[in-house]
Amino acid sequence: MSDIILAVPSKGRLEELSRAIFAEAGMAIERPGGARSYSGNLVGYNNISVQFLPASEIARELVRGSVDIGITGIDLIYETAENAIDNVVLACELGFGQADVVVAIPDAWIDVTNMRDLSDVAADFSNIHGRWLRVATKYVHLTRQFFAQHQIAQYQIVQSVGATEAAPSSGAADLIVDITSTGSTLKANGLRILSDGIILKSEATLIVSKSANWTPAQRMTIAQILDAIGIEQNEDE
Amino acid sequence: MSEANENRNKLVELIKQKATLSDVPMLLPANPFFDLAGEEFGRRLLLTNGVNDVEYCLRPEFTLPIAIEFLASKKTCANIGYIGKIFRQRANGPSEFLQAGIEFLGQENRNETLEQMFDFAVSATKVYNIKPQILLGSVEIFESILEQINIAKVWLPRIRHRFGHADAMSRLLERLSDPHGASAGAGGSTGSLPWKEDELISVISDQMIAAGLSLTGSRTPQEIANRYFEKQQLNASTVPSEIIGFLQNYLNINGEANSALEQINILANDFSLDLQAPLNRLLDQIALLKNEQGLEEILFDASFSPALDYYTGIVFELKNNNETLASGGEYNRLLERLGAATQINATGCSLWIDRLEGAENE
Repeated sequence: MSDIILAVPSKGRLEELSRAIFAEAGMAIERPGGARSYSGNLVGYNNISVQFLPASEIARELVRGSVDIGITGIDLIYETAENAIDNVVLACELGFGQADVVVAIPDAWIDVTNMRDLSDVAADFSNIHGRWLRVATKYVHLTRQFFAQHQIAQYQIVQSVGATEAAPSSGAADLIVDITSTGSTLKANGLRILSDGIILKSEATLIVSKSANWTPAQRMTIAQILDAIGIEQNEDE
Repeated sequence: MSEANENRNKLVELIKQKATLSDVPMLLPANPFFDLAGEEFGRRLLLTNGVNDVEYCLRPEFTLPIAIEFLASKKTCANIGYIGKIFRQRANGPSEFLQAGIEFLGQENRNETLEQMFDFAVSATKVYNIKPQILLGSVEIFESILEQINIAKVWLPRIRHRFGHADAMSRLLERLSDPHGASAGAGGSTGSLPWKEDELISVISDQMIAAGLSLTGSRTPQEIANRYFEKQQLNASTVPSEIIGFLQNYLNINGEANSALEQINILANDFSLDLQAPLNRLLDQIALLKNEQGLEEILFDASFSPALDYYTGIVFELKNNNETLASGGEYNRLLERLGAATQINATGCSLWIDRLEGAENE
């Protein structure tokens, strides 16, 4: 039985760069079945099995503890559950996959530059339109936390699965909370990020689960991986 | 029969003396709760999806489903009681609570109805041998102050919306008193904007059309232009500091009810505000709580209100050792919000039975 499960993104640039990180650390990841296979191994480490999973599943499994260590975006951890971040340790940001979760409004809202403006608009909105201001997003938990920090209570979330940026023009929502790396998709859809509207700066991160119940041997294996990647560890973590 | 059951039966008897017991389903459509109370309440719902993609929740409270059913019944008045489990998400996972209560809907005499409600709440605590503290608040005094003070109209709904959110309110008041805190200038990437209203509206309209936005479905060009000009004006003039100070002083009033109301009276006289009607109403109720209900600890907190803007008159909580055992008040805007043609008198109170049982005195 293998001791530790390491999860890496299953495709694209995230997969390439994740494997490169481990390769540089002298831990080459093999994927014997090719791109269609979901399992692999670390050369020279029989006690570590590798799973190739979509990034959002990696986040969920880390939070649940069914994956011990993995690479995924911090934004996806936050979105797994309201207190999901408490179930993991962010070991190391890896310097790729950067993207921001942001609040974006129609650029034509010339009277709105920051969250404070938005709180006024939200307070006025239901009086004028007879409904709440609608925010389209797949980042439900991050949105609720951020809006609560800015004391905005008069709004409603519209869950969106894909193409959130189209929600204002389709009429599904008035503004959006979405992830963006260059901002060009937002711009192309006539949307503008509020000046203090960056909710989270996310990037691909090596993350360790706290929910897993490790034996001392497993603990040593985790330490070995972190050490190879060059991460200093606190004894008590 | 166990003592807990015996006491619950006594509660049911109390409810039946004043109301008809309703049978609200445990599984309810979730949308009405989101529509009414927004995300702050919505995050606490236990949700599930039906095969028809309708979102349902486990009953998080009774008032809303009872109000919806009342409207559908077309009755003009009804007294409706309930007892049963409610379900809410909490920081450490989902929880269930036992709640009981009454809603008086459409009753004409507001004072008598409120008196009946106090009688119900205090009688319920007597079942458990508890002599509670009562905390009173008044939405109508605060709304009457907002109607009378001299402050730019645009701020009124924004101040009202923060009543009951102490933190948000104090931040807003700080912001109103600080001219440099206002966010100046225009957003948007349009470059310099015209000063004439009709030109500005046409610039905004063009931009919205280019982005594929409906001109009527969300904020309209007129609405955006209005707030844009309003912001320019507000940046030039701030709210006078004595008005901010007055609101802060008022919201800080908190203590024994009669002396708190006396302080409000003095403050109102200094500012030439007429708060006699809502103050007298409260004084009458305080006298009844003392003389009829025998309550000794009666407190008033000017900033106390449920953070939901359909509350309208007097609101209250019964407490024991800082724990809320019952909460209620007048919410005449709820039925209107749900589609009634006008405001309809409504007074309600819910009891936290688990807490009453925990606080029971032998």
